[in-house]
Amino acid sequence: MNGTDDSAVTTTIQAKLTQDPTIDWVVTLAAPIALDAAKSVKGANTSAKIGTFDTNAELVNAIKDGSVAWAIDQQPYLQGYIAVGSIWLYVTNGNTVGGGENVATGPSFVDETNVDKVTEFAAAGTR
Amino acid sequence: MTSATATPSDDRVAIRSVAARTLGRPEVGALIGAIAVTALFFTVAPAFRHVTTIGTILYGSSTIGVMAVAAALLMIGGEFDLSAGVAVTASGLAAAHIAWYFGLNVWAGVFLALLFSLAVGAFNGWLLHRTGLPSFLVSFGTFFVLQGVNLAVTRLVAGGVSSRSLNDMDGFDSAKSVFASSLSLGPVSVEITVIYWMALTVLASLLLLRTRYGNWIFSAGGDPAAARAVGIPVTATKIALFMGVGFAAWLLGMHMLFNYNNVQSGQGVGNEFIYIISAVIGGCLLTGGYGSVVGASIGALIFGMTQLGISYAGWDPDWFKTFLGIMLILATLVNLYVKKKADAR
Repeated sequence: MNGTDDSAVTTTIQAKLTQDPTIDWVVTLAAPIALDAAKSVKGANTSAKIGTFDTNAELVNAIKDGSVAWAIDQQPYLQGYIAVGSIWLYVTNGNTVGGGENVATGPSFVDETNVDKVTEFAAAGTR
Repeated sequence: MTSATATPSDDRVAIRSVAARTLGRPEVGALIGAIAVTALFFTVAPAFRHVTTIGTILYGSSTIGVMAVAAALLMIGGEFDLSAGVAVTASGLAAAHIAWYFGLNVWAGVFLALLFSLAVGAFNGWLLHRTGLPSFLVSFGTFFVLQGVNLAVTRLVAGGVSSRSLNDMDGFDSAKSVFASSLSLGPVSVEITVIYWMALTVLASLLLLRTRYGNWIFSAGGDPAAARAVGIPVTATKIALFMGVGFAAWLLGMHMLFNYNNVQSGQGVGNEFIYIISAVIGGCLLTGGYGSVVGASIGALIFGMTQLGISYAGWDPDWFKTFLGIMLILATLVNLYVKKKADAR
């Protein structure tokens, strides 16, 4: 589909949901697409649920009102912050984090149980 | 065309049969193409036959059609606007940023965005006139400029890559009902953009075929030098056509803003070709001076149907672009064939 056009995204997902009514989950790879998918599910009048990767301020509200079930937050803020922080600690103090191996910055699941905590950070653009 | 000037004993103004005149209309090829595409998907895609599908397809087509109408007028006037796709995003962003940054009523942002979009159109037209460069180049420049402005200003104002949500600001609800509401006709949900699309098609078609200004458009695109020689304000006509694209971009931009709550700064890239292709499927000549607004709208419908029909048919969407390319060439060939047959009579 044409990912640079919300109306094309919405209508294409809606078409697919109509074509195959057995679809029960839609997983999207970005928050804005998940919000479009929520419109599609409503338009196609199916009970498909939506999960997505990544969050933004709007998406957090969608999780609150239940139109999106969950988001896998890969915590891009951490990816930048920890990387730079680790280098700084290594240079200034000789520290290594995680034994010099990969440090996992996620995934963190955001769903209705913890969405309130994430809201203000998402609004600030750090989640 | 009503713009032909009668010259005695000229075969170009010979009386032709009704059938030849009907088939010779620029939109006929597109109409045949649209019927063929409808028949194809109606046969292969059970989901395509759902009555609710009409609403979805019309909506998908309308977001192309609103722009295709303006692009068709411009193309008949002999010019392209490659900035039309990002101009939609730019307009939505302008409204969102102005309203959010200054804390104004949403309608103030909407109004200033209209001025902005018209100004971008006027700038395109003015630059075309001043430099004498082809509109392909001028509007391509504007395309890049707007793309950069969209991202840079969004980062500066909103601190991210999308505009801030306006949904708690004054005037949001009324603006949403004007630009992004839908009404139900039985089981079919009709988005308001469909109504705007139809209205624009009718108005632009009347303008083109029933007014003096319409004749100016045909002649400015067909032969600007001859048009100037008989006193037609070619430059003003073309600037107005670019502003027409600006207006359509604003209308669609407002829909995108209020329907999706915020605008991603990278959106709209590539859509300009879809608008131009719709106009071409609809019978507009790339060289200008010939074409139809109704045809462009049918072109948008063909595009919308094809885009969604592949999903409705359950075909592997990886092949979408390939199928689209074949469709477009076929539609254009049918167009040419019908026109040639009609002209030969």
